[in-house]
Amino acid sequence: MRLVVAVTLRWLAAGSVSRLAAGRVSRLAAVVLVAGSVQACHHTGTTPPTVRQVELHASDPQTLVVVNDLGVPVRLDATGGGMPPSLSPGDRLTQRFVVVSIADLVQPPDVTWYRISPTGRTDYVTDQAPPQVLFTAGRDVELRLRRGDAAAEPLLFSLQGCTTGWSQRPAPPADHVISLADAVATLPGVPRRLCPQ
Amino acid sequence: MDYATARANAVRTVYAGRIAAFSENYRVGRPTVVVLPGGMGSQLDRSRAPFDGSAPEFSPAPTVWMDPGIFFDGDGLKLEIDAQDRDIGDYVIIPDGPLRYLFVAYDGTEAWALGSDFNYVVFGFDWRRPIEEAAGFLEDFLALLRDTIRRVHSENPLPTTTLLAHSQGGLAAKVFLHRISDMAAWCARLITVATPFYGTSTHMQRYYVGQSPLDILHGSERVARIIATLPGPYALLPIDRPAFDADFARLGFPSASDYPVTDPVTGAAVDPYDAGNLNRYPSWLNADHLERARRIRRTIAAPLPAAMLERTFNIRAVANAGERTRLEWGQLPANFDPRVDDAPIEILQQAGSDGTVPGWSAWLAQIADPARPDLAAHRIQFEGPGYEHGDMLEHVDVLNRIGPMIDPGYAPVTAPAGSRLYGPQTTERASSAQVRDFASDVTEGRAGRTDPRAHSERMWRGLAREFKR
Repeated sequence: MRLVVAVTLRWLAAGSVSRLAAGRVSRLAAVVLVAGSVQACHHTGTTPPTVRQVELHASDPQTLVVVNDLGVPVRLDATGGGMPPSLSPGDRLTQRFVVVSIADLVQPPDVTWYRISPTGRTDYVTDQAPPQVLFTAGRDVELRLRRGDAAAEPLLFSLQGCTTGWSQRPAPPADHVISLADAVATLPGVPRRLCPQ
Repeated sequence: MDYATARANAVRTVYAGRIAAFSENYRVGRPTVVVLPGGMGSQLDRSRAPFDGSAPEFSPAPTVWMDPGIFFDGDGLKLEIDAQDRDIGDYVIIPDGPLRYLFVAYDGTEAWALGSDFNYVVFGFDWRRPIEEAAGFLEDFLALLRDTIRRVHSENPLPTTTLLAHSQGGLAAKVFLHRISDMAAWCARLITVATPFYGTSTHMQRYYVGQSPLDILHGSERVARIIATLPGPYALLPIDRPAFDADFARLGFPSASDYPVTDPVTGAAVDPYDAGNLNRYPSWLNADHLERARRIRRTIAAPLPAAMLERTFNIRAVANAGERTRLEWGQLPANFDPRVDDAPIEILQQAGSDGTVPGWSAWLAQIADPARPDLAAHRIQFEGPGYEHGDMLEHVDVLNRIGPMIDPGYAPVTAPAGSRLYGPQTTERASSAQVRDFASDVTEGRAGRTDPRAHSERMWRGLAREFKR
């Protein structure tokens, strides 16, 4: 299980995000590293916040297993314009990915130390291996399915709302099996949950 | 960091900033109003440089929607989204609250809310992007709001929060409701005002001739092509046939043969979402975006659970309740040229709308159902001239209807003399012709950055109205 901390200084109110450093250090080191200088904030006219964000940890590699049980050949769009993989009926596609959790660190008044805030823990899919079929627009993860020459059908998956969230702890390796028939049957725009195991 | 992650993170960063500012003025124990603006009602900021793998910089804010750059820096052209879902040129564009150059969008609503001792915050969203993306970010925004206020003020504001959605904002709210299970945990109620649940009568022509006054600045075809790259607004096309067939009676149509989009020659129904009708659109229409919108319309039209219906209210306006707005949609003219040809669309009986959204579109079928007298208080209608789509959220009649729903002790407000709109909108707005004249003067070099019109609140309010049609 790897523990990755990529340190960012990021002004919540500023809309100004500057990445300072990235590295593999301990969680404790992350807390130390964020105790850096404070930037002014003027984007929304608020006072400089005492909140900073760190990438708290990353999951172990996860595998999304997409099962074509639709009974017809399909293709999945690939991000970055790569070759879209095809799936015949009954075929399975595997997509490796990692979920990175970003946490807010809050500086209580009149002290120099930070604590992890219960708010603002956010999870992102990253480190996709080929074939790179996960689109990560917005807050959800998306597969784009094509049947024949038809237009893409977006299928949404959310990293949020899990009983045990990705942000709670680093997640061990796991397979997440997705039935295309089940995903298509879901109300469009309403994501299925993609949760750690 | 990939582009999409960087964009989502930047969006969330701005939300956190706006909520931090909101928290500073939060009034404990008072209800909260979260406004979801209509399409084009949220400010959009663009990163200072193309995405290079690191987190984008947005400070100082380079606004692309909208400030004088609309007239002088070609900002309208920067709104294009490319085939990889990236903002054109690999820049990153994010929403940042309401429009606020020289005036703040919905400032009348804000003045009303604060004057009524409500907490008030605007959920800005990127109206160019898919509706479902805005719905996801709304979930994020409300969770941040809850957690921030709980931490700072030891109070969860959501049980007394009203989601007040204007126009397209109501579509994001409807999809959001389908993402969650317990509405009471997220808000006290959703009030939609002039929301096109089943489409607008005016959006379709943008794919042919663009949008005033951008068409003057950049040419109709160029603007129409850019609009066609934006996936979100496709959901504003008029009602799809399956939704009509399922709900025509509840929406007030006499029969299934009264589908409101017909061919002017044959009289046959023509569904704007049907890929079989793609040949009626200009070549630049994006079939993927159309299909995506057709799919999300299934969710917008899907029934709500009873517990959510009890908390949902739809407000609409019609100039004449006796009319039922419909459209005639013809074949694409041979060698269609937006510079000289009109869109092959005729809007009929427009008085059956608020000028943009037909009356039959602004109530959910479930709520409009005459067989549900228990929902009578959830379907609210204003009739007569003077209820213009873009102004509905600031109209005193609308506000005075909403107020008691939020607070039983609400005191009605009155508009300034000679107006029916609440708040600081005392400045007369430039007319559509005046906005277009200014755009022409800019295009032809007769007006520059120092032209007083570029710095006139009156001009900018007029411009905003032009876009809200």
